[in-house]
Amino acid sequence: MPDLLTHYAAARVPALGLRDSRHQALLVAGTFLPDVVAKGLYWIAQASDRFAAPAHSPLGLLPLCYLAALFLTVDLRRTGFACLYVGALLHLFLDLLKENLGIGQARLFLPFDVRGVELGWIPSEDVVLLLPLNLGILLLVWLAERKRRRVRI
Amino acid sequence: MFGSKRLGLKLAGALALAALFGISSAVRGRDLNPPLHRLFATPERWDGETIWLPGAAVKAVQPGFLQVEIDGLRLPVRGVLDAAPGDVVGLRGIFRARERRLELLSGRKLPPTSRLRWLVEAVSLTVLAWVALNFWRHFRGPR
Repeated sequence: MPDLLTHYAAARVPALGLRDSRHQALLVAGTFLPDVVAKGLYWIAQASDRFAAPAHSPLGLLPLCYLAALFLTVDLRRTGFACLYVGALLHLFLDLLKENLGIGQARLFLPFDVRGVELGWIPSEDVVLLLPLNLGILLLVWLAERKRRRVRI
Repeated sequence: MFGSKRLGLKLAGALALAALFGISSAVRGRDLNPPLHRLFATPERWDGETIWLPGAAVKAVQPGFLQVEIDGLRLPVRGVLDAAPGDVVGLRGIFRARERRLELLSGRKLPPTSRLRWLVEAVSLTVLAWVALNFWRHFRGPR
């Protein structure tokens, strides 16, 4: 995975387009969902990483997002599910960009094909170098939000 | 579908479907990227398979050949890679059972930034805590 800061920064950009702050929070939560589920199953439940792999597949994420959405209030469930799923797909897209010598973390074709897929643009060890870029994106998002709040007043 | 009617059934159904995906993936992905000890235990089974070694320590380098170690197990690798003893490398190659070695397809020396993995994990946990706090702020019930 790219680090969660990269996922967070990437999710905050499309979240800017959402007016309801609850939808923004759900989109950001959705982008964390694949890693929270996968790492939770691996580290806490001691499950194999193969068992946790559907958390990094578009079809496998559907029941997970639906399950999470059912814990929201009824009026928020439908849009909540959409926000969570879009956030989770954004996570998969970022994971696709990573380079792991052809062994990708994203399992796009599960359950039909268990192999990982990657585009391989960014060496997985170089996510540390993205730190300044992520902080820059978050600063811009913060400035844009502040400006929007002022306009509302 | 998103209503509260038969909520327990919906929760159980979603959980069961997620578990089914997990079980299917675990069973069908059993033979993907086996660790070295499985290769050495039944080498014939893995003959000709593409193997991925994400972090192997280089122990020796000769022209067109190197030896790597993972968890105390050493594996000869045939191929050219710009690495020196002591480096950590990621490799992908074809396993040959008879010679018990790997034929290098691709590989790279892991950069010094890979040692900062702890920093990435620490930042990730901080961000997760921050987002969880923010999430709670948005969704806490009536006070």
